[in-house]
Amino acid sequence: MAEKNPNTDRPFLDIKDLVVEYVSDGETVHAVNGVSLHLERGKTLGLVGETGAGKTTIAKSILRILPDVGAKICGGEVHLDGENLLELPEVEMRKIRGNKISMIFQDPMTALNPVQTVGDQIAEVVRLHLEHGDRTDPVERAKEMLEIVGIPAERFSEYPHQFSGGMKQRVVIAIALACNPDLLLADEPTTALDVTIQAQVLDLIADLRNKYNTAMLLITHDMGVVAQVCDDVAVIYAGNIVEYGTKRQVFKHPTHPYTIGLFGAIPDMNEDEEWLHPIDGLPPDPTNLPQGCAFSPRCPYATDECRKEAIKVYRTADGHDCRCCRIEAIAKKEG
Amino acid sequence: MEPVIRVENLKKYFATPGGALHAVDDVTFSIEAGKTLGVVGESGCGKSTLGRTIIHLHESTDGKIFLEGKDITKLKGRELRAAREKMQIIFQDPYSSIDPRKTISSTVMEPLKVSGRYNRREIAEKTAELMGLVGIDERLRLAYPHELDGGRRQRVGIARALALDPKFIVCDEPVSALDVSIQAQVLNLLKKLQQDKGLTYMFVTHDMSVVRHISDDICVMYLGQVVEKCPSKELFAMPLHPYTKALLSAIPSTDIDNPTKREILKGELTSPINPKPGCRFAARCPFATEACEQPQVQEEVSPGHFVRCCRIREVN
Amino acid sequence: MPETKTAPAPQQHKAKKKSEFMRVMRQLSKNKLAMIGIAVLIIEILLAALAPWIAPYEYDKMDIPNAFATPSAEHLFGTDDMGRDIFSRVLYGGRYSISTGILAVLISTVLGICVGSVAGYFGGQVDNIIMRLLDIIQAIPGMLLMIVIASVLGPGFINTVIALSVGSIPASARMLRAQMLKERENEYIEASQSINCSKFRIIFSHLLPNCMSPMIVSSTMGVAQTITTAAGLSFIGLGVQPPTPEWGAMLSAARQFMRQAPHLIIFPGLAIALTVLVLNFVGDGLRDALDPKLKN
Repeated sequence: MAEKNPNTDRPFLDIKDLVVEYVSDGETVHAVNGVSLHLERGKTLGLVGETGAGKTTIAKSILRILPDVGAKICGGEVHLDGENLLELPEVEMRKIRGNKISMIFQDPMTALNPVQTVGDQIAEVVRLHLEHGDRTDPVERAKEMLEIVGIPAERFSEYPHQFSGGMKQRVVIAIALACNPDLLLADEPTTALDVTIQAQVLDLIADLRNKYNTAMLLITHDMGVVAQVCDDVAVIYAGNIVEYGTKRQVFKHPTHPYTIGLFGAIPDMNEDEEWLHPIDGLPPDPTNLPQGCAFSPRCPYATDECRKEAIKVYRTADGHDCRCCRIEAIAKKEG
Repeated sequence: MEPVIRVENLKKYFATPGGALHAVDDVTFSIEAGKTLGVVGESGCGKSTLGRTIIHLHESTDGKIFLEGKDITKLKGRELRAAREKMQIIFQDPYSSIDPRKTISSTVMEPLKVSGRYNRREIAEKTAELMGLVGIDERLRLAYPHELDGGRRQRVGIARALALDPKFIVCDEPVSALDVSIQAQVLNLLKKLQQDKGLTYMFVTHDMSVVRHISDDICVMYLGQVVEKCPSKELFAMPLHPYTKALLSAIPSTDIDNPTKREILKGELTSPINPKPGCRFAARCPFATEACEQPQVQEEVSPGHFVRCCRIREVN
Repeated sequence: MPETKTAPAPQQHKAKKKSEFMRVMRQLSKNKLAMIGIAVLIIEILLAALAPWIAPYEYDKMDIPNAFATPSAEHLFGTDDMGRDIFSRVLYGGRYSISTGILAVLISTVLGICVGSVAGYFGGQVDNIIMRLLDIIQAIPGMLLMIVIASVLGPGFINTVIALSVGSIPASARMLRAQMLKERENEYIEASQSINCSKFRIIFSHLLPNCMSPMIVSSTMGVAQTITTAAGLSFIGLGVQPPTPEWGAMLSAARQFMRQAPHLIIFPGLAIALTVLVLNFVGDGLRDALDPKLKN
């Protein structure tokens, strides 16, 4: 949804009209349907949405690690630092993965190799991405990384099972940051962790991002995490960005009915309410998306107009986009 | 009035190669009819084990469990089965808690069949009624679990738990595997069922906003022990135990104007295997002194507000 | 309460009450390979059963001058070293081979399931004792064990089947136990405890159906193994007694003529291979049909 401004250069990460489909059993799953977003160095963009909304698929498309069988990037561009990643040959891409872009996965329990020491796993990433003539000692670098994420370097030669969940996630972060990536894709990095540990890890990630001026794409379903870490927010529903803006715009003035519903469904920490306000119904079947607005079957404001054709993006304020044709009517009702 | 569930000094230790794992250690509480007790804590604090021990999925090591005033701790055989019918459980994982090879209706009707009290027609009628009660479409009767989304599966689990008209239900993280919008649907359903049927809940969760919404009283657990117990509102307004304070401040708030002042705890959970006699939180507690190495007693600070900390006067 | 709208409408279950058996059969009938497998298997069994009427020659009728004849109109599969008609022998051999194979596997699988599910469900000491007993059986080389059993019981059809099945009980028991230990961790088992299901019901109604897939596949594979092992027993004179034909025995007897007269080995070999192949088709089809997740 980023509007291209010819006067300035392209943003650091610039995704345009990304379309990804999966084919299984003769059915086409429309996972990502024309997503555009942009991200500058040192900034964090939060990608919020429900299970199956296509958040992880976007991240995997940027890295080009979608499964070979069945998944297909059908269109769009992913520019990183002016280079279209989708057009690079695989050999080039391999140099970028883990070096310029790295990814933190949701489940620290399965992201580590159980039969290799954590230190070796960090050192391996460093070694793989050493430039010719670079004299960095991978082992030293690995120890340094451990210290940075708050694990004593003495634990270099311990195995993943000797670490707790939070510690493992720190190791995963250390691996992701070992090569000073320019772009960090964090896919639900704290979902598997307890709140007190989550607070530690979020702090750590924020610190490191500020220190190295890394751009970060944070995928989450937790509005609280977004509020704490992100600068910008993109709300995604059924493979489409439905609302996009700065954190303040989206949290203070949510305009899309889905975003409004999402906030309403979270139990309020400061107010007592007898009943929650869930969004009716279920997310649509991605093999059979409804015509027009994908949210229309669950939307309390939907009219016939919403079900006719694809909905355009409306800009309500500077940089605040909303994919809904009934913004004004909703704004009136919501007051 | 007699509380529906009362536990006294309940203990559950598991034998491990390293020694006894104190999963639940000296827990005492009671829940009045129609009320909800929220049990919060981080993974490994023993909150799920507590629920399972009460409904006899685990055998308790020590202590007593009373159901409607009757000691059920050591029940066996037919008496245990009768007691179990009054206590049910709703599980966290809607994927693994339903037999994947059984149709929805056969899962819901199984408790009725097993009880042996109903004939075929009554079973069919009751099953249809239960499915209506939790909002599962009649057409899904012969569907298999994998055809359903998480929210609907969780409704199947709820219907199964309700089949025998229990008094008391342990809800073991029933919404943590669900998306926010679906989570709200299920929470509303649970609340409505409680009002309609006068159910008593023990609601185990790690999500503070959920527990605040649904509970009347809340227990905060840390490594097998209850460190603080009080009415829900009081806990959020005036937490007393250092762990509760840290836990509450760690929740990321959605209010971007007033970001919570966070106290980041150092370190992680210590091992629950052969714990030291003193306060279990002492290793991470910013206020810990030598006095904390003594066994801690639970103290009623104000009516209905229990804290297990020897330094609460200094801390607050 | 907000009513749940049915967004991705799961398939309509228009069919009224259909039993589980009917569902499996319907699924199975959709699987082409499995249907071919069943058809071929039935034909094989019919041919074997009707061998006395179909076979052009007596299986033991020797015709020395005509030994090693290559396949011709007279002898469809040729003749063996003693001039016996191989086609007739393959037909008769099927009676013995197919029935020992299937029967022995059936017995060992059923016993393995019983032993394995008890060990897997109860765990602890029970599991320990059962597993150590199985270890003892497995410590004896398989062939040796069979020889001991067969020689104690004496030759004969039933005795061979017993000898063949005992040796493979530990393997199937172990497999089921491992499967059960994994499956037991699921919360639906705790759920069935909390609704007062008996142990018997939990094992047979919930656990076993979820543990059967690998058992079915390995059993169909096991049939092939058993047919060849049965041949081994015949070879040392403990299985079926010559001149009664049996595929495995025909194979091993023909070994020495492999270079001069390959048809001696090809036809019984093909018979075994075909049987194994179709059994695998049936096994795979059955596994898929039993799994509601694979319903289309």
